[in-house]
Amino acid sequence: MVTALADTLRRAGGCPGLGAIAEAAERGRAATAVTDVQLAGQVALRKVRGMPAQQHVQAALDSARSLVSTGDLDGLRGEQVQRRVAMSFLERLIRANLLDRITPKLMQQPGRSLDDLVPYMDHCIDQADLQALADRLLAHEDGRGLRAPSRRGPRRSTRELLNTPMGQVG
Amino acid sequence: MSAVNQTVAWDLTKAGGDVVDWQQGYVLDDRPVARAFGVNLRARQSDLLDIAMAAYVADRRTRRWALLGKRDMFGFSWARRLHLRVPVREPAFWSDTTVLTPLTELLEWLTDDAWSLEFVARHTPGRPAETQGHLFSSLPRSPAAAALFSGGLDSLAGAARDLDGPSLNELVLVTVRTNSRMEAAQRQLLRELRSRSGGRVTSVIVPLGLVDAPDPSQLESTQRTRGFVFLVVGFVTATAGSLNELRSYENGVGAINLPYSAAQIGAKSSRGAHPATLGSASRLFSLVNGKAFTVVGSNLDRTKGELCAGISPDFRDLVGHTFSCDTAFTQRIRGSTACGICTSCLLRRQALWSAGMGDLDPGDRYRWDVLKEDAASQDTFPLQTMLMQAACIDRCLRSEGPWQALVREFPAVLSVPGAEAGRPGAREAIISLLRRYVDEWCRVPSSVVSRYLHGTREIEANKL
Repeated sequence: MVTALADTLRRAGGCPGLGAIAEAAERGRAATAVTDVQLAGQVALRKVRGMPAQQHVQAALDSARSLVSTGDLDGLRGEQVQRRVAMSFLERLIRANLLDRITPKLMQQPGRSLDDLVPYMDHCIDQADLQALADRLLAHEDGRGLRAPSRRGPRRSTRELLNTPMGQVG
Repeated sequence: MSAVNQTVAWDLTKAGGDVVDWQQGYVLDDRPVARAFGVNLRARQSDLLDIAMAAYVADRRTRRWALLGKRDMFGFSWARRLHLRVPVREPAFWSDTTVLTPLTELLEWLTDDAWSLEFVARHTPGRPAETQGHLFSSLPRSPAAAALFSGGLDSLAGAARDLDGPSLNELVLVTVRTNSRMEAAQRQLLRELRSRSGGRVTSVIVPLGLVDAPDPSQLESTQRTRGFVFLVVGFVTATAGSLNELRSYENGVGAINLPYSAAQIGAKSSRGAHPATLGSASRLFSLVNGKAFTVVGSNLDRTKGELCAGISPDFRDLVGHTFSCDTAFTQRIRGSTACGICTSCLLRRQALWSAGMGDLDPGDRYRWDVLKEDAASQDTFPLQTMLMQAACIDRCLRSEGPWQALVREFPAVLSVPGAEAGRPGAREAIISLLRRYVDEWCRVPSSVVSRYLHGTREIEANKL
C-alpha cells in the first residue's frame, strides 16, 4: 500500500507546498487561529491549479485545517507537527484512493456494520509505515525521487497473506 | 503522464447578435428579463451574463479526465487550466483586480480549475435586452423578493413558504431553462404557484443551451459552472427589478454538500449553493451592482425533509410535479421521469418519507425503485454510499466531541462561513442540522437503511 501511495504521489507531482502548509499549521496552532494555514494553502494551491497535484495540495490543506481546528497538534513541536500533518494527509489519501472505495463492497457482506469496519480500516492505516513516507515526502514535495521506504518484513505470497490475520500482516 | 495539464484556450471575441451566439454555438436569451420589468439591461449586467456564459461554454466543452480517461482512477486530470478571452462592454471594469480577483476566485472555488480571464472591448451592437425600448416599466410591487426557481422540491417548498403569508406582494421566480421537457414542467409549476397565490408570482424563464451540441458523451457532465450561471441570471433579474437581494431555496444539507467519500476532494462535491458560494457571489455582485447586493440562502438551517414538511396544504399536491433527478431530462427515456438512483433522487425520497409524505413518492415514478425489498444489490450502491456518509456523520455526532469528530471526518465542514472561526452558534447549527438529517434517514422504509443506521440508533423505524 505504501509503495503504491509513493508511486501515486510521484506520478501526480507530489504535494508541493506541503512543508509550508505544515509550518503554517504550527504557527496557526500557536495562535489558535487558522488564518496562516489558509493563506499558506491558498499560495500552494495557486501554484498547482489545473495540475494533477492540485487535489493533493487541497487534501493536505484540509488535513492541516482539521488538525489545527481540532487541537490535534497540541503538544507537538517543529518536525513533529510537520510529520503529523504529512501523515494525516497520507492517511486521507489512503482513504480516498483505496479504503473508501472498497467500504461499500465490504458493507454488503452479511453481518457487517460500520462499527466493526472503522476499526478495521484504522488498523489498515496503522499497519502502513506512513511515518517514513511522510518524512520522505516532506523532503521531496514535488514527488521527484520519492521512493517508498523499504519493506519491513519478508515478501509473502498472496495466498499466504490472505491466510494471515490482519494483526500479523506487517 | 505529464505533470501539467494542458491549458485550453477559449476565444469568444466573435460573440454577438440577437442572442449570445458564441462561435462554439451557445444560446442565452436574456430578453425575458428585460420584458418582465420593462427595462433595458445595463452594460455590466449584460457583461456578467456574457462572462458566465463564456465560463459555461468552456466548462461544458472541455472534458475533465481527458488526459487519462477512465484510467484516471485517482482523478489526476480532474482540474483543468482554462483561458477565456471574452468581449465585454466595460473591459476596464472587469480587468480591474478588485473585480477580476473575486470573479476568478469564485470560478476556482466552484470548479477547482485554473481560470485566466482576459477581457477585450466588444464591438458588436448590444443585444435587444439592452437596446429595445419599453413603453412602461413594471417593477415588482413592494414588498417583493426574487428567488431562484429550478422546479425542484426545494424551490417549490421555498416558494410556497414565501407565498404562504401576506408578507410579499410579489415574488419573482427566476428559472434557467436548458431543455424543452424541463421547461414544460417548470412552466406548469410556475402557473400553479401564480394562480394559487393570487397572481403574486412573476416568472422569468431564461433559455440557454448549446446549439449543435455534440454527443452528450463529448460534453463535460459535471457542469460546475452551472450554479454560477444560475446565480448570475438571478442577480441580473433581481437588479433589473430594482431588488437588492436574491434568495436561494436549497436546503442546508444539500447546500453544504459534504463529500460522500474521502475521494471527493474540493469541488468534486458540488458547491453551487454552498453558503461560501453565496457569500462570494454577494461580494462580487455588489461590486457589479455598485451597491450592496445579497444572495440569501433562506433554507440553510433546514433539511430537505423539513422543507417538505413545511409545505402548506395549498401547495402540497404540486410536489408530484417537481423534479429532482440529475439525469431525467437528459437521457430521454420514455415513460419515466426519474432514475431513482442518483443522489438527488435518493435525497428526494428520503425527504418525502421523513416528512410523512411517502404517498407522494410512488416507487413506479423511478426507473429503479431501490426502496423495494428485492432491489438488486448493484442498484443500491449509490444509496449505500449516501447511507455510509450518514452513518459516518452519525458516528461523529455520537462521539464525545461531536464537532471535532466531524471536522476530522469531513474537513470540508470548515468551509461553512463562521464554522472555522467559531462564530457563536455556527457549529451548533451545523451539528443540529446534520443530526436531524441522520434522524430523517431512519424514517425511510428500507432494510438497506436499517443495516447502516438502525443498528446503532434507537429511532423508531416508523415514527411517522
